Amino acid sequence: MTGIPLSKVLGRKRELRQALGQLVNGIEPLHILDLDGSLIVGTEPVPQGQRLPVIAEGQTVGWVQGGANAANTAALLSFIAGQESEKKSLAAELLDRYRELHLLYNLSEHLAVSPLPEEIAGAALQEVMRLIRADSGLILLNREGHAGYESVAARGNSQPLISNCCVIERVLETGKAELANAVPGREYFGDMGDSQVSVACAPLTTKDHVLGAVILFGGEDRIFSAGELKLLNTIAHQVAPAIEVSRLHQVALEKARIEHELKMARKVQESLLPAGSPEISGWRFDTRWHPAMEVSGDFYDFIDEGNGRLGLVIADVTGKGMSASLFMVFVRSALRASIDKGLTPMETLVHSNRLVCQDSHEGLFATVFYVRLDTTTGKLTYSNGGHPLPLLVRRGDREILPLRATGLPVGVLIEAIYEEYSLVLQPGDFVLFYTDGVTETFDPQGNEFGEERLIAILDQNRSMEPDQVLTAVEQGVIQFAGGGKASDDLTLLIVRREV
Amino acid sequence: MPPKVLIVDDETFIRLLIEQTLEEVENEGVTILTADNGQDALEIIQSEKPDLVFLDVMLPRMSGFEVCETVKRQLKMEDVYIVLLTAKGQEFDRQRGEEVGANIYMNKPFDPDELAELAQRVLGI
Repeated sequence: MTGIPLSKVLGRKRELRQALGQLVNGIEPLHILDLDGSLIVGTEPVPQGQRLPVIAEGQTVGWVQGGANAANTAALLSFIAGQESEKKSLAAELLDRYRELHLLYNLSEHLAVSPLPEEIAGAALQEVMRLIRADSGLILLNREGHAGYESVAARGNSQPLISNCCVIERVLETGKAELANAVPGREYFGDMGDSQVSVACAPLTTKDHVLGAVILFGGEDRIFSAGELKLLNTIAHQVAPAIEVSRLHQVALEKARIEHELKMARKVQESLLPAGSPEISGWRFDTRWHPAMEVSGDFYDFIDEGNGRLGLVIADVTGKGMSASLFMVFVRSALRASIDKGLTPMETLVHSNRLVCQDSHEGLFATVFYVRLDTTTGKLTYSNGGHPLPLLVRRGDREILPLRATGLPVGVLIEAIYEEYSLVLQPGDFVLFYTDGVTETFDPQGNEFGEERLIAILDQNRSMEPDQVLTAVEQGVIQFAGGGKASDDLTLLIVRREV
Repeated sequence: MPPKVLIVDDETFIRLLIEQTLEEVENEGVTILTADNGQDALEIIQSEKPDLVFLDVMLPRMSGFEVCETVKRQLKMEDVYIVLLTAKGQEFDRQRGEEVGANIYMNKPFDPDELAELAQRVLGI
């Protein structure tokens, strides 16, 4: 740091100059001279005697010439000049800190407006390169899952980096800033002949890991100083948390968006399920509905078809999540529209299948079991579109039999045909409808629950109340799965004739 | 007559910062004056007639607005270019600034380069 010329020191301090002027005039001839010998304070003629230096920060900044008081005056002026130089150094440093402060204010404004990590990185790089002169700059951020680093911001005429640039790799690994002045350009940019570059690289770190790095490049004449590296490091240190927060924010936003979507879809679904079970004299109904995830592909429906007839639907849509749930809504609407036409169960499936095939684009389909129950006679007429066969438990009969009917799932083939059968339920008889989430549950060893186990549970509980039967099935499945979380939706529906 | 710049702020470090920022213009022979309150600022403006004034809004003894109003509206010193300095986050009364005749306003923390550029432009350097 060069000392400030004495003329400047005295020039700033008017009172000092005046006081010195009086001092000079008052005592013996005394001259205060600038470094180049020009007169600052004093009168002609220039006195005899040695010139004594005025020294600030180890450098001569002026002279005092005169008699006995020259030495003291020189000492005093040296002290004052030294103070001024120190003050100037502090002011320069203060200005640097102030620039950083201004950068941070600007950055935080950017953060409020555009919280994307790439935009923050871009803004940060722009500010950095206003403070530190460089030909080009780059900000690298690590990829998810340790898959290397990618450039998220670049300025200036930077060519693409080759991989394995030693300084950069080291900084990313150790989290410590490094300089490399006048090194071969080809180490960073591949073919560059003999030309050299200078590199300043500072890590972007949070408490426990290195996010990435800020890198500045200069031509071979540009030598980055330790002070500049320190500044770069400080700025990088401030910027890193902002980028990290922004990234986490993006992740959280996406997660929240997905969760919200699923919640909405589930609300829609739940609102479409019957509010409760039908209350019809002489009959008992009960249901269980357990979605595996936020939204379920299973659904059931009770439809009042008039004249004492009740329509029952149990269905399972392919896939999970949003698309399955929306398809479910569609299938339900198609079925209800078909039922409204007063067709037989078989005709109902044919008709709704046609509707679904015409409009379905994504290759989704649904297994459907549709039953028309005459609650006055107990006659059950049914048709099946690929669904697991419901189980009939007759009071007195040892055997538990499935309600057999074949047919393709709805939505597969527009010309699909379906079968139709009927039987009569007697008092004490019940039918259990279920989805494949029951029979296709696996235990920890990989064994399937299967129809046999289900039949066994029904047999054991045939004299229980309908809700107890369902509970027994639920418990059986849960225990079989070893208490693990269900992988598929699980839906149960039971119908029992009382009288 | 060498140009003069007056820096008015009650915070020492701000005066120092602006002085440091204007180091280059100082080398061109510009005189830098300072004041830490509104009253002194007004006196210096009247006696020294600076070409450019950096004037903080929040000052003891007389606010920056009042100083500006006195200089521009009452004393009608049109040749004094006044920059009002205001802290970010402070609701700056832009309309009041116009009423009192300020030439421009600047937020703190200011951009040192922008400040230096403004000074050079106003002083014709």
